[in-house]
Amino acid sequence: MAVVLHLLKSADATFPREVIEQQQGAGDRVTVAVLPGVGAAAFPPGVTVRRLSSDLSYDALLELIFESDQVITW
Amino acid sequence: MSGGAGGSGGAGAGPDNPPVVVLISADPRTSHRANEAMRIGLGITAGDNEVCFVLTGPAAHLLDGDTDDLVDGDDIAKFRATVKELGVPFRVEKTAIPDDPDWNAEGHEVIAVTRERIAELVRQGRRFLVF
Repeated sequence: MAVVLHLLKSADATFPREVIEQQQGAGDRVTVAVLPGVGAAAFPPGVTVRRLSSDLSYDALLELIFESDQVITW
Repeated sequence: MSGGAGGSGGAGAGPDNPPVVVLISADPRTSHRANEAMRIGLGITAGDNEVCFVLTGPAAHLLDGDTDDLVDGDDIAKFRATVKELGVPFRVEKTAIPDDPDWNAEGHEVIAVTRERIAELVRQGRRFLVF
């Protein structure tokens, strides 16, 4: 089981969502960090969604990056 | 189609050597980013890295026969020729492959993939470049 962090900086979350669904199906632990300026996006249940500058600080984001096996920036 | 995500030469991709996945969706007809992505991916293959190029949506036009309509068309022709020489295939989203018979006129190795397969490739990657 991998720990995966998605950094979402684009409004179109269609493909990231497809990837996340597959990762979840494989048992990966998925977190999405939404960067400022990106609107609301829906993710599958079980995904941890955090918004930078709102409920996620830059320090905490850095920790998340180091804790993750994979980091994907969209 | 291979089971792994590997593309470029070297030791071969596998569980111990997962590839760098270069996922390109930028439109080379309107953006410099598609060419830049291919150039960067090519640079990564110069190291001992497996690189898996994946073209989705309008990025499939990186393989257009006529590069005159592409931003950075001359560079695209040059870089993709090098990718071909290295024997690195392009994985292209099935539904994005243009009907134009001139598409991929140079005969690059193309592996048509579904979006589900692309998601798998991402899951198997070690590092990711998304353009």
